[in-house]
Amino acid sequence: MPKLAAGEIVGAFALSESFSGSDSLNVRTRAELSADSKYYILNGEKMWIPNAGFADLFTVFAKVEGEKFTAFLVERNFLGFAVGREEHKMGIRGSSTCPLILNDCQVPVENVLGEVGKGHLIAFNPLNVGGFKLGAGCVGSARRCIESVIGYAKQRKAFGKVIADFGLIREKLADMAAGIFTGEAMVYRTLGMVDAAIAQLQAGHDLAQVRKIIDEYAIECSIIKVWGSSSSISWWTKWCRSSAATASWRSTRRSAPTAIPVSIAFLRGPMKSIA
Amino acid sequence: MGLFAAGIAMQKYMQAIQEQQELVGAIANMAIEAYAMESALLRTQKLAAQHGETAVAHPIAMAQVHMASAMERIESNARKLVAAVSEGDTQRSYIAVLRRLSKHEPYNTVALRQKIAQKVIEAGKYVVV
Repeated sequence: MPKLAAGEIVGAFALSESFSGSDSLNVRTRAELSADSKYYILNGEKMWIPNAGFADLFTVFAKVEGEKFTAFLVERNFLGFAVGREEHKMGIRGSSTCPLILNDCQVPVENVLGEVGKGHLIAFNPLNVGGFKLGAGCVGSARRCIESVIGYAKQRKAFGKVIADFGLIREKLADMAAGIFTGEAMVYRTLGMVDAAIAQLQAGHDLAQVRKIIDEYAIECSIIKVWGSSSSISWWTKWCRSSAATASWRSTRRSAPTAIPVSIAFLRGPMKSIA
Repeated sequence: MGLFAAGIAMQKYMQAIQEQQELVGAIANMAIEAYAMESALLRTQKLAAQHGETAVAHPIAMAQVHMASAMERIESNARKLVAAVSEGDTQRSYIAVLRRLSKHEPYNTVALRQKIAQKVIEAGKYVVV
């Protein structure tokens, strides 16, 4: 952990496969205990793993005995572990994305993260926090974009005046600003609520309690991810190369399955923020 | 409006609503827009408390512009849902409810956008206050 926090080693989160994405618990990668019970032998593949090109430590999800969804810490140099070629993406090209191949990969039993069969607890927390971060990232990049857009609009001329003087261009700029304002409001508000809840924990609290708090705000985190990546903000980042990727974040695994918990929660009323 | 639309959808489908992905999506969209609107509103209130009401015309304008378009999306989702779960007289009464719930004086978004644009153009970047 200290090395990960210091950036001395880099981590990667390996959940998705060719045949499972939104249905994340449907992984086909298998893990079998070795005869001497010292290793789990992993077989399978993972797709679209961010950081894979240079990560040192991978959290890989596999099923023990065909059904116990479990998280394993796999180091890059383990026997039977290989990283495939970089994917050609439409955007976020600065982010490494590769498949992983596990061919009788030997993972020491000590490298099980959490408990066998309880891998979902390990999987969902980064997905919740990740959802929040993606939405927040969209708002942040929109803030950068609007600056270059304004600069361009103030110097580009058409029909004898700068295009910043035209009503329809100004309308677009105003919509960008309004979207950023609202996006910021949602991001800061959600984080404020999570921080306040964590602050209420006693000292010496269990990480499980922090995880539970983040879970409670999972709906809000999903909202931010879906809103941030699909709102007009992502269309305006057309000026930045990552727009296709940000727009696709709305339709990644979190969108359709997210719709169900968001709406069910709405129907039942336990969304923490709207009392 | 979101709660009303969600309610009538639940009445029709009960737990099976989970299979009606388009309806579930519409409900989620309304919840998301409501959270966004509320967050923008709370933020303007906080800014007004910090800086005084006269100093926050710009954030208020941004919130209002966003809310105007958010309301349109909420209404559109609610109507889509009503049309999908009801017909005839029942539908007409539901539409009447939506009309009552969505009644509000429209903001002059043309003027508001002009003001917002002027402010960010002068600043050369996104500014809040």
